[in-house]
Amino acid sequence: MQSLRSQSFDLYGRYSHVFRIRTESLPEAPIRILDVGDPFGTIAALFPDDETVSLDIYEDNPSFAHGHQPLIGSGFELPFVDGAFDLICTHDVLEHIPWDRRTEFIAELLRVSRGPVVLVAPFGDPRSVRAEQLINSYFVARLGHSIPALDEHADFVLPDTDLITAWLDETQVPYARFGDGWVYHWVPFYYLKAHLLAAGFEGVVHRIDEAFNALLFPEADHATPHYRTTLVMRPPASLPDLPTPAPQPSDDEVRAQVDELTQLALTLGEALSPTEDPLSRDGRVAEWVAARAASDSAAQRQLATSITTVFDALRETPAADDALDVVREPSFGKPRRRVAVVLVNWNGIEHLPPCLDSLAAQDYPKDLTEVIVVDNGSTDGSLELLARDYPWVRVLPQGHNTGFAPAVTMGAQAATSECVAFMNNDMRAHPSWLSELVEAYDPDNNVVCVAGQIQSWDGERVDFVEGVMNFYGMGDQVGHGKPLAHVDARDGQPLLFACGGAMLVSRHVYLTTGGFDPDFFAYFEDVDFGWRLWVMGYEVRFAEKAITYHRLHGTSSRFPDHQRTLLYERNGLRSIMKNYGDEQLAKVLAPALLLLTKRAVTRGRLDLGRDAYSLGGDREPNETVSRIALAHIHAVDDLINGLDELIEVRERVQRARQRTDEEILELFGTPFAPVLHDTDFVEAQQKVVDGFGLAASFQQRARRVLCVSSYEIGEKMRGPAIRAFEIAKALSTTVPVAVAVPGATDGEVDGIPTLGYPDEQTLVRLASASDVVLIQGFMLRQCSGLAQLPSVIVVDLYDPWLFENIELHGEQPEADVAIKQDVSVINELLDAGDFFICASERQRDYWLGMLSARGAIDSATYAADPTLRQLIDVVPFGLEDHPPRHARPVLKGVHPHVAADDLVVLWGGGVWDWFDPLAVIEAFAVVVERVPNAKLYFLGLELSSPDVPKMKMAEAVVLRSKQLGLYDTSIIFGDWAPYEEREAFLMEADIAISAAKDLAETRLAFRSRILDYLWAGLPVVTTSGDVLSDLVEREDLGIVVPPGNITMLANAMLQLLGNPARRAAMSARCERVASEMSWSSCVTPLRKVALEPWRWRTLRAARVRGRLVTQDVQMMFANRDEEMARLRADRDELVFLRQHSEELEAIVRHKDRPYAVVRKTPGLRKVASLLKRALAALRA
Amino acid sequence: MAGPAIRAWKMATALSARGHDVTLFTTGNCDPLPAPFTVRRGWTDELKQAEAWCDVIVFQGFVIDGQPWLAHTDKTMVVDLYDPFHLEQLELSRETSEHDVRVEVVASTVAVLNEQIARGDFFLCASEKQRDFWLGALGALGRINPLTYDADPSLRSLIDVVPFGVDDEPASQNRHEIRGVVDGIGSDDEILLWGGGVYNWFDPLTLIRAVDALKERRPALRLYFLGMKHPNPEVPQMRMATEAMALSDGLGLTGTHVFFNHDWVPYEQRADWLLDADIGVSTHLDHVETAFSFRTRVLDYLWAGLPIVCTAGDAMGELVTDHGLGAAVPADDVAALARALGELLADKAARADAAAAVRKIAPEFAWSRALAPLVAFCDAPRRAPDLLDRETAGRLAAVGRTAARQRRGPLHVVTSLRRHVRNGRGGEVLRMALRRLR
Repeated sequence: MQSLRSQSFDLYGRYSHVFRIRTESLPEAPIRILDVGDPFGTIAALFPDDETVSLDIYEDNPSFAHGHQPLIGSGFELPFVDGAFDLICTHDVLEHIPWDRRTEFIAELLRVSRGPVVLVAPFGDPRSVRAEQLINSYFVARLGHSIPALDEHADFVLPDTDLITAWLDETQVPYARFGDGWVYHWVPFYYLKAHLLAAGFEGVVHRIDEAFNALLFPEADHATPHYRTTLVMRPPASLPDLPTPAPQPSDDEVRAQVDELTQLALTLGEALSPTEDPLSRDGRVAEWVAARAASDSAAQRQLATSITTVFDALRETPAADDALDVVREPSFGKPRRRVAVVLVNWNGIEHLPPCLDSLAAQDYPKDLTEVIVVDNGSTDGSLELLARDYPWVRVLPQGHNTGFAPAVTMGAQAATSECVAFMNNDMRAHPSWLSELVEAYDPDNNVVCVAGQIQSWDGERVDFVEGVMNFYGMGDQVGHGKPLAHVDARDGQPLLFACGGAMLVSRHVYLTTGGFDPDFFAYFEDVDFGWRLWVMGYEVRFAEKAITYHRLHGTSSRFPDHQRTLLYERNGLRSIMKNYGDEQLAKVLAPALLLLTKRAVTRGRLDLGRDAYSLGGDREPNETVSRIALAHIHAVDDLINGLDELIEVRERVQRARQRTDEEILELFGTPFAPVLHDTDFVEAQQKVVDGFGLAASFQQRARRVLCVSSYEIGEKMRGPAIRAFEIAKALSTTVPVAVAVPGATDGEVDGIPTLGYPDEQTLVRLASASDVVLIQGFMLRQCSGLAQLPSVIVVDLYDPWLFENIELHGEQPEADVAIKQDVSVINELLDAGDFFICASERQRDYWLGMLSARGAIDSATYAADPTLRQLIDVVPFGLEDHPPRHARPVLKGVHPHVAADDLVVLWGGGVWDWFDPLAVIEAFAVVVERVPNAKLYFLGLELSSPDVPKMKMAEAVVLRSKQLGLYDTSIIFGDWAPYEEREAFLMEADIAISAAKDLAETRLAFRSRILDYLWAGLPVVTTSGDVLSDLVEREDLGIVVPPGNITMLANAMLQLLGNPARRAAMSARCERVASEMSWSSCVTPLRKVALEPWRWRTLRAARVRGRLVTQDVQMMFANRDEEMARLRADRDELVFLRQHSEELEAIVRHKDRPYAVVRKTPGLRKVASLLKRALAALRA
Repeated sequence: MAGPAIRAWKMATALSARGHDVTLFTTGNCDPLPAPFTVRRGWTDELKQAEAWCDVIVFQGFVIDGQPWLAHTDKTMVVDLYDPFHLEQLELSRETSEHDVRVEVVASTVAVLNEQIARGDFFLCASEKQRDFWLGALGALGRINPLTYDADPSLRSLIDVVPFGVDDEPASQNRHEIRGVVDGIGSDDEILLWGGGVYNWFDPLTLIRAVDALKERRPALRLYFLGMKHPNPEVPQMRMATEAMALSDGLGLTGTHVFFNHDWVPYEQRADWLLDADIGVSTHLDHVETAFSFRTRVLDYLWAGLPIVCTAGDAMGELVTDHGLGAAVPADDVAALARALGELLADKAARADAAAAVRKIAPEFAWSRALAPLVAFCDAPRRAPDLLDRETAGRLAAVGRTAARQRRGPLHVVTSLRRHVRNGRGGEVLRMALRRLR
């Protein structure tokens, strides 16, 4: 029962009875237990030592625990023999069964059990019915939706206790009954939970359940009237000691209770106003509970005790994350964000009044604002002033100066709002400051931090509009001190960081990402924080209209230079050591330290006494050095002292990395701005930057693209490899591209690097080093690590496999399993991809349909581009940019059966099952009678890859040409020609032919071989229906005939073979059309992705794909490894079944209950659910 | 009658002409015309009776959403997918809703479709392009499987094309409604007709700008917007309609070159308006919705023999280009649109050719022909083979249940209520909801 402790109190109650019956009343030895109507397999964890089976009409993330079996099936027709189980339970199922079939269902349960049957369900007592109505209506009011299960209860009507018990009496089934879910608990606790859910308070909901289950159940929850009734049919000799229900009271009493319940619910609903924290000791809920405790009704007093018990338990162990963060209106408007303004004060008494007055004058709703002042040990009377004049401010006195960052964090921790706004105490805010900040805050799109504009106190000069940084971590504020008009402020601009003096940030993000680094004490903690946010995948943006006015250096000018320098230098260094990735840090750290030393020298004017350090110079061991010079050394020393801890912090940041350094470097703005303007230092910096070649690493690095091929590149390349390779070649003029190929060796083909991947890990490593990864087909299934990468995943969907594979597997019994797997692979691809390409507009339509059913066409995707070309675009097949070469004769005059003046009809590729080479052979038999020197040459019959099953079509083609007596004389089958040599065959042919069957696949197909024909200027005879035959027809590049029409096919060949002039004209047109179809123009949509991958990465963060709509569909189609293993096992078993078909058939024919037989047959038990399918296959 | 009602009416007509016993059932308002079939209006109880009576159910849209029990019927179910309304939601929800709400609305609309795709025995759509799209959806939800494929490898027996049709009888005019009748439009003026409503995904603005660009050269040019008033009074006027009127006012065209009809056009008499025009126009923005929708108003132009100028990129644009019915121009291109209109207006012969081409192709779109796949199916109705196979059916039922759960997400109540209000059933649904809450 422990495993259920954290579940809903409702679920816990439901299962507690069967648990007690099993453990207290039945023998200890393992037994067989069936749970009917549970898709999750809850009992697997409840009874780990027993053999358990869960059955439902669907599965929902079922348990695969050892000894447990999830099954799909109907409760009216349980697939088990009589008495197959020792114990059967069913929870909250009866009420979902049509009322006229309920006894039928119970009878089936009784049939299959040889022991007790425990049936738990709500029954149709007026008080239960009212309880359900009250809860459902409260859900609608607070959460905007009803509870579907309760809707269905209302539709189906709750079971009638009398009817069921009368039936049991009639059929002489003994039973006992008792109840739980005391309605006086059930309704109020559901109300509380709904309220907390609506307020985004989910953590507390679970804890309420836990406390309820631990403290109230079972004693207090078994009282009458109860929501749920447990019927134990054929009860064991001794039942656990459970209270039997009180006799039904009179109608008047029932009516009174219904009224009381209604009153309770309505008053509680009122007390639970949207902003109510139910745990508060003086809130309206507390009042309500107190009133119940003082009530005349014993039930109400008991309820008050129960609530108090649970609440006290919760209050004793408060959890930090449970704060009531987002207060939503009951409607579905934009969330009204609560904001806490946090100020740090240290002896700033003269600043506080203007600052706090400007906060009091904010136009942001007061009920959504809290103001917190963290006082760092002021001794100037600040605290007294606050207490006297600003009672609405929450003051957190620290007693001493903790530093800026710890104080701010203290304030953020103490706040209870969704957002925190930080403000310096020497500022005043424009009345719309907060509302403008909140307006720009957009956590759904990763904008979790908003920078306000800071102006000088008089509003004439710039303080902060843009935060920039140089490569060694020195932050700067663009235009600082300049007149406003001279500085360009762009609303909404992404900024590396927001000034810590005026910003808004998600409180949750602030606290979970580490916030301002407390070790900074002061200066640059905001730079470090902003940078870290970008590293972790968030964004910081500028809100131009969120204005504060700042007394420049109100507090900090009171520190001497050497103290400030130490902090600047140490913090800059600390910040780069935290935030750069490994590669970039290695490049930058040495230059940063060199320049830090140079600054010590420059600022400390140390170069004046150099002579003393030359050998033979002044021997005096001591020298007076300015503290500002030593501040640099202290800075480094500080860092070294805390290095262990710093490295830990760095690792945390790097582990959370979501963006590459390259993407963030763009935000630095001024990577090489010198922090000192002394000529000496500026020159030194230039030398260091040049000497270490830093400029290159800060330039916009060209993005790297990796095209993954599942097959080898080079000679005898297969279609998918050719496509990957040609795309890589065409893209290589824009960005650096490599092709990943299976195998261990790296190499180069046509100037494109090929990187070998012997295993999955290597491929993931290669891919993670690339910005964009192009994958095809089953790649993701073979290498699931690819889906987790930060790289942009482009999925090439040039081939609608589903159809091909149905055709391929069509007549095998495992087809259904294979297709299920295909659907699952495709759906996985659709979920994982950031961008998709396909080969034609028609294919795009098809894939859009799939994407749409998968929920991928969501509002984020649509908002980015309503044409959805940023989701999926067309990259057809292109032609090679050189004309086909003909190095040496390969066919005419070379092949023993092809004379130099023969006319060759070329079939330019494999004979897949969806093609129709048989029609071509039939037609060619007609042709060859009239044109005896015509030859039909099949370029490839066998496949070069052993992992594709040999197709039945290849056998049929050979057989048929032998029957016609044309085999190897007029109809010749070539071996699969190497990629390069293919051209020679194309050049020697006179016409080309392509024929496909009339299948669903045809319309979506892209017959790339027809492109080869165009490239070689070959007139084409082809069947109609696909996009390229449309092109042939439109441009008059050959003759198009309907599929399956042998006469027309023969006529078309005869017409072309007999008319050289027409062939020549078509050939010329082919070449013209071909000249417009280059790979280089085909890949245009990919170029944009290759150049701006961050666009797609941003979109990925915003999309909801695969989460909302298709979560469960995903499960249905087994998007998980164990499910895949099961599918494979299924397939093996099907093969096994096929092999043993005769025995099976015999079993089935002679027995009434085939399932029973299978169940008893060792080795076959697991396949019970597959039997039917196997039989269907056998009978077909 | 709006599009869906017309379509249903024509289906009922064709099926009853074939000798089938047909009931046309509506949950909306209904002001019945004389019909050769039974017309019933009602709600759950009446629909349950009708369901029990029939052999085949044909429906489109949100029906299952309002009547969830219908998904569990054993009757043969034909689902008409001619309107990819989830794509419409992407655009519609754009201006009205907050982010979370949009996500919900779009997702639950997809779920509504997914549920019917998991359950339908036979599907209809309006064009080959749509069919490609729906094949994708059918594939993703597991409906393309060995059972459906082996039954018919072309999958035409799973999903086929029933375009919107044109009336079999040619359009004939009883009287003028625009030409020489509307104040400001003379008998010899050159009339462009916008033959329907102005919704957000349309682009009347480019058209009005093109008229503005042409008006000097062609002073007799008149653009007439037929449908500023939706047949259903509860459908609010959309932003684009307001913008179109504002633009026309701003350019000083309203009442001189651009005219908006705010009156009601009875469906049966629409020929009186159509036949007053010289050219039918339809322009839209380049959105995924426009790519897949089927512009039914263009069929009215076909019926009336009007040369057509429309936006390229969808099934209609392709038809116009391929058969020389007028001109299809790129979206959002005032110059190209003005050029196409100018050329067609200046060249009488070209206009006559286009009109002839239109008249030639119109019979191919006759309702009787368009509906052939549905009629053939109803002659020999059958359940889909994968829904008869116990195991596949179980899996598909689970997909459907999942979709049903998602469709009933938090916003279900709100959106369905809004939809019912639009259909004039708000009161009843509200009362029902209250009954349930009491």
